[in-house]
Amino acid sequence: MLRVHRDGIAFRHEIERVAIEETLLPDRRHELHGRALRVLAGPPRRADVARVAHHAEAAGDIRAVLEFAPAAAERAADFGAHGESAAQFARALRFADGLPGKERAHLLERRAYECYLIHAIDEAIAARRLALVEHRSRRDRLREGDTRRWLSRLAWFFGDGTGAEAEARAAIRLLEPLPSSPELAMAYSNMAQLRMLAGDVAGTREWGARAIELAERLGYTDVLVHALNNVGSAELSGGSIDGAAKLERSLQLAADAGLEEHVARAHTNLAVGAIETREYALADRHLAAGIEYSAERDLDSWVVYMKGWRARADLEHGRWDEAAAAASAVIERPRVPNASMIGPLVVLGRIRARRGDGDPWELLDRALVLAEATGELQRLGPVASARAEAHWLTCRPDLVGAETERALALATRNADAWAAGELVAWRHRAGIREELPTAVAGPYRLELAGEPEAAARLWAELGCPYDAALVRLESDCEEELRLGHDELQRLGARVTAAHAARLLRERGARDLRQGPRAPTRANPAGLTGRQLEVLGLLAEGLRNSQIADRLVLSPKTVDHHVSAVLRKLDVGTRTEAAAEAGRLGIVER
Amino acid sequence: MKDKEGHVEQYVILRRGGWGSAAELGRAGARSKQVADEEMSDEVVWVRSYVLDEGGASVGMVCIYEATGPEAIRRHAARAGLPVDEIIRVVDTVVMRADPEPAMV
Repeated sequence: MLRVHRDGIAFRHEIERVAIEETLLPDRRHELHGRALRVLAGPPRRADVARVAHHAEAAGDIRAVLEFAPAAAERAADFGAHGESAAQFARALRFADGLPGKERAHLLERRAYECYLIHAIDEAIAARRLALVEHRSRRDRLREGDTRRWLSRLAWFFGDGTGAEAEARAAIRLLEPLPSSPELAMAYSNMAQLRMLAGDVAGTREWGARAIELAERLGYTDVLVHALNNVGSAELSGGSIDGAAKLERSLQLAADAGLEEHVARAHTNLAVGAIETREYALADRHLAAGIEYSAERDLDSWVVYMKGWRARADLEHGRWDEAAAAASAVIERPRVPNASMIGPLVVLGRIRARRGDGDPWELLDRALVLAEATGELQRLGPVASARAEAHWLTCRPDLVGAETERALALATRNADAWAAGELVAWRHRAGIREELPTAVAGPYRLELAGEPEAAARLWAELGCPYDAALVRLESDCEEELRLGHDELQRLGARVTAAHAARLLRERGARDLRQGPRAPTRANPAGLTGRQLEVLGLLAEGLRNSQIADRLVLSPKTVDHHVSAVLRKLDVGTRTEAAAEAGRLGIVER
Repeated sequence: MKDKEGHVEQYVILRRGGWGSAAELGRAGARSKQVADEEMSDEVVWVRSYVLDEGGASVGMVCIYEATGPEAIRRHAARAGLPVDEIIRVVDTVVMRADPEPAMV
């Protein structure tokens, strides 16, 4: 049962070890853990602190747990293992009743932070609230203020806009009378963040300036990073490319200082602001870099949030299968905070409405409830636009006005050209004639000025095929209507295409492409996406080394794929594979 | 295989103009079964299909599936190389008479 290693003896099989451990009576187990603890914690101290902490807890040794568990937690955090870190802090806290309040509060705050990083928001809130009790009982207004500021941030994550605002104000009230502190600077920056999330550029600049002034004067890098991000985000989303520069500066400072969460946030807000203003190249760069960076460091909140936004970018580019898959993945995930859920619900809802698949309203209704709780244009705008579109698609344009009123008022107040543009466009399509807000983004402005063809060209340049096709339906020219209709069918927007078909038939147009597009004979042999790519290049006559270069794969990987393809197509040579692929319609002859 | 509320959702799927011959249809059926049963058994269940006469060079199908949602149906179709023209959720089934014996796939 036992095996002798170079540096010890171990059980041959884990099952045997577990079986033996389970036969131990509690007293015996307790005693053995105690012995292990004394050996591992004694000189020479070479054992892994996490291991020692484990034995310490099982031995019920309070002093040892309080020595080793926090150390294990900090070590895990240093390595980016934030889940492990949170668990070790929880272990310490189980034994912390006898600790002075200040130390217990510190453990609670560390745990709360690690929980925040791994997306366990409810647990973070619970820990902060317990810490708040400690601070109040010791009248520590500095810590109390800072904890209120944290509770503000966490409330936002749950989509509780009102709660977030109230805690933010309370934090500033507590901290302003005290001497200047990083906590006060951060409270200002937190307020700037709430203004930014509400789309209030002026308010963001005002609070952001106070934060930046304090941070630069007193050298608080993390606050400076945070505040630059807030102001940059507000400006970028508001259509000012200066915002990108501030965000890039924030990113650089954060990377230099090793501030992981802030790096993730900078990538995120660059991507978000870029998508909102249709700067897709900028968005793609930061989505890719941000998702990779965050995934490597267990920063789940950011990964999930960014993937939701990537789903939106895919939607807008006409990649609906990818968008639907990405959105579904977020929607089906457990414990996703409301802020991360809204975008994917809207994306999937739009796809279903356009395709006429299933029920879009279960998704769009849920999105509305979540968005209304936040009160933010960033959430309300897309939800209102998606619902307006769904009403229009199901021939209920009469519902569009009420649906879009609140969001349009916010968009006008914030001078948000893209949000306002989309909302006004849907109202216009629904037959509402009204005075336009001053700020309306390019393609929408052209549409509303009675130039749908120019709008379509601009949408096409931006890489948004559905928007281009949709606006063509406003045209008087039959050719434009046909182009729109055909593109909508190509995209699989069955319901929208039906609207286009009706318009064309009303004009007496003939020879419409009836019914569905050509059948999907894309993958009859069950090749993976990658294998299809390889086969496509192979059929063009490329050698494996050329395929490897084109797809940025190793030549060996390409060899594997080619073998798999030959096997799946049941052929012996590349030439036969190319021929079979042509015959099956996988590639064009 | 249930959705969040524990209901099994059933869908009608319209597949038009998909196949030129019985042999093609047979191959499609085999692929469809393989992807559904072996790769996506927790997402789609193929219940039955009716083959549609499209008056000439092609045949289509109406399929009844249980699925976690329309997106699962589309993913299955993409992997199995099947057309999807409409996906409609079924809210109730009314059987008046038994069907004739279905063809084995």
